[in-house]
Amino acid sequence: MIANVLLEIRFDWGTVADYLFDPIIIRALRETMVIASLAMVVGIVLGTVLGVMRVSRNPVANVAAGLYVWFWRATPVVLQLLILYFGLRQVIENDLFRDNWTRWRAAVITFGLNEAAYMAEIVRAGIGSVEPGQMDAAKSLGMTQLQALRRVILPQALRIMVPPTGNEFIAMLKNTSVAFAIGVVELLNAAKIQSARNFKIMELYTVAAFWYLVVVSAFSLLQAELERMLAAGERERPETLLSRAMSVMGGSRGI
Amino acid sequence: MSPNTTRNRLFLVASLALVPLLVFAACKDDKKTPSATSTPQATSAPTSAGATPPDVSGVPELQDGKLTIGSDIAYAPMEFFQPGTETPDGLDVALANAIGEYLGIEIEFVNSGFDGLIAALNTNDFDAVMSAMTINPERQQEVDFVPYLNVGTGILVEAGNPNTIQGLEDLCGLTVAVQLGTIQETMVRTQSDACTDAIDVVTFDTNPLAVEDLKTAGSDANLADYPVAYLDAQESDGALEVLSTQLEPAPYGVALRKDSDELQAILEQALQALVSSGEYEQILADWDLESAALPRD
Amino acid sequence: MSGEPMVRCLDVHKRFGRLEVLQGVNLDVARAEVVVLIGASGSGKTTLLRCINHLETLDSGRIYVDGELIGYRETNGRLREDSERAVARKRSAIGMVFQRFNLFPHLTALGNVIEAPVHVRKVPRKEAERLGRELLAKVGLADKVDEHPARLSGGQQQRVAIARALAMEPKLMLFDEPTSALDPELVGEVLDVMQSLAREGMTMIVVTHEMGFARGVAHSVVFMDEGQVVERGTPDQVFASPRQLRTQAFLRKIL
Repeated sequence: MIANVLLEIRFDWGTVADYLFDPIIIRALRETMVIASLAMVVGIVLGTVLGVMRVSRNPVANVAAGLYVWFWRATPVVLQLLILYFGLRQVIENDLFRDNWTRWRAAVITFGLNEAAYMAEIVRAGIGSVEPGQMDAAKSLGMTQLQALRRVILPQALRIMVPPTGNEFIAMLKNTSVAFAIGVVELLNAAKIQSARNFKIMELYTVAAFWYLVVVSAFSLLQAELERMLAAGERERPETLLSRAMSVMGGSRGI
Repeated sequence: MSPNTTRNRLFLVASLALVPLLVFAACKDDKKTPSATSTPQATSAPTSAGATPPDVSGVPELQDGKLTIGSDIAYAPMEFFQPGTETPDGLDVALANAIGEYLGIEIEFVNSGFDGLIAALNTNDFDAVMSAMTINPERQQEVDFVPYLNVGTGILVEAGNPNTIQGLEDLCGLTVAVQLGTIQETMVRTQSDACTDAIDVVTFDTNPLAVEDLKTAGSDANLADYPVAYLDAQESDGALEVLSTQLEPAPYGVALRKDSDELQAILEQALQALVSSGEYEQILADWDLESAALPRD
Repeated sequence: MSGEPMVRCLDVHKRFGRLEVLQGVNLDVARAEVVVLIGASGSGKTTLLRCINHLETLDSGRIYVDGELIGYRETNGRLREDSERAVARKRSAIGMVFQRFNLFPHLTALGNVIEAPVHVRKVPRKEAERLGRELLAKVGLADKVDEHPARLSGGQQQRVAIARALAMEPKLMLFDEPTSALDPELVGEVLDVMQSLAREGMTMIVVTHEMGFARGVAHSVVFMDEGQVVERGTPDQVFASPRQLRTQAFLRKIL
């Protein structure tokens, strides 16, 4: 019976080979990475500010950041894209605005603003994970809370924040595909567009899956290295694939 | 641990376990959930096709007395949901219902994205596709068609036609919004290849989104089937206009799987009966689309 | 020792929730005086210390350090909480050494010592490093300047912590059970540093169980119980002939 099922499968590896390095696909892959990366930058920067505001004792800062996080996490990204792109363009009929608020920029900004809400929580948790004694020591030396956060707490929180932030980036890479709602083409959509023309749906999606795997795997290796570098002050530094590979290739010099 | 705490924990775990179950139950029939079974509506002209409906016993897809039709129900005036309801309406729906009434079977429309309709048909998600789908060679490799309308492509632009577009060639160097997987997408891409200044083709999952892009000046034009473009212009409160030229009129067909020979025969028969009785003309007239009638051969 | 006291606590009350930890503490510490605070856990010793550099707020009462009101500002006879900047400034003149060291793990020993001088007092980095090395040499850790805290023993870490506090050139040093978390054989090196500090005329308030240190170095011993100062005197007076019953009971348990 299994043999029958296998024989029934119509899968054209030739198509996969054809499209694997197709310029349209590669360009779309680049779009995915660029959009995701830029959005993460926005998200991390804004998210750090928001996270610090969340731990602040200033009630205005605290509540404002809380509202931001609540709103941006509660609404679906697609909806946010539609509102920020189509909605704003409909309401603001100004030519200068419309010329500059392109779908691409809207996508990056929206993803970034959305991501900031999630990063804020990661930052907040990271800050909370640092021993209270650290803040005591910093304050006793005459630092303000902000100085202490910047110089003492956040650098330590960084170690804790890397794994969840890495997760967020991986999720972001995959989420960029919903930007299709406002006409932005990235890896998954490019596969979709091609498959609509040649009807080779599985084959094209296999190509997309392949590239997602490649990008995410490469990033995971980088993340492991980053975690290792941040363990600088510890007694034991974890081995990563990369560090092991480098020492095998000779002359790692204790990297 | 006190008995209360244990009981509380059990309750919490139980309710958490229920969540995925509820979600699963709710989405069980995801795509397959019928939008609504549309009962055949009475048309203004009486059916003169005869008292006895034709024999459908030899048609495997109709054995349960029902024909399931896949369609992207977001393409007024061809198919759309009556506002605020889940009842499909439109020219395609009206014709399908007339066919159903003639054959004495129920018609059930299933909502599904346009670019995946053929694939879904071929995996038996439904037995026919009626979604303003133009017959073309690429599609004919995958499915068989029963032609039922003849429609051209309309060009929708900003009122006043600021880019003075008169035909396909004028789209060179501009941005055009289309729905993914439509012949309009192919049309524009082919034209772009022939341009010196390529066309920026922006594709969307649904045509309304493409029109939205035009409305918000993200694109310079939208190409869609003429009836659709015409309707969009009417409903735009003067913001959009449709050019009078209809490009490349081509037949719409009901798509069927390649092995649905009996169904194909009976549908052709039903359509012919509707044409002979004048009901076909009447339905088109109801929708102001007499111009889309199949040419009589 | 003459003139205005370095520290003056007037009727200090502090409550945590419903627990009254300080119930009217009055305490003067003269310049260059070394005061050892003893008492059972929960007696309020640590809390009092943390109130002196405003790591804890007061419910009522006042604390003056070197004539300046700590943590609050008096306007028109009313007390209002001081700005964070003002509090930080006053704190920078008060050094604190914690039971668990609270060294900054992501910085080296030298890094820990120069952090506050560079970023709070804006001392030029080279200058701060020079002074830092001197201080670390003074506490006997000249060869550990570039080590991270994780590579130092408990005693070494505490000595770095002392050097770090001293780097801000404080007028007053607060020690919160500085040797309680150390292995017995490491206690001596820390007490030695504290002793030489005392000899140099630093005003010190030390919460500790090290009675040997109290006897040998302290000018005064203050016994606290249930949030109040019960007895005060020279080490001889308090240890040999305690006047209060509670003092006697406590001493019986620990000596």
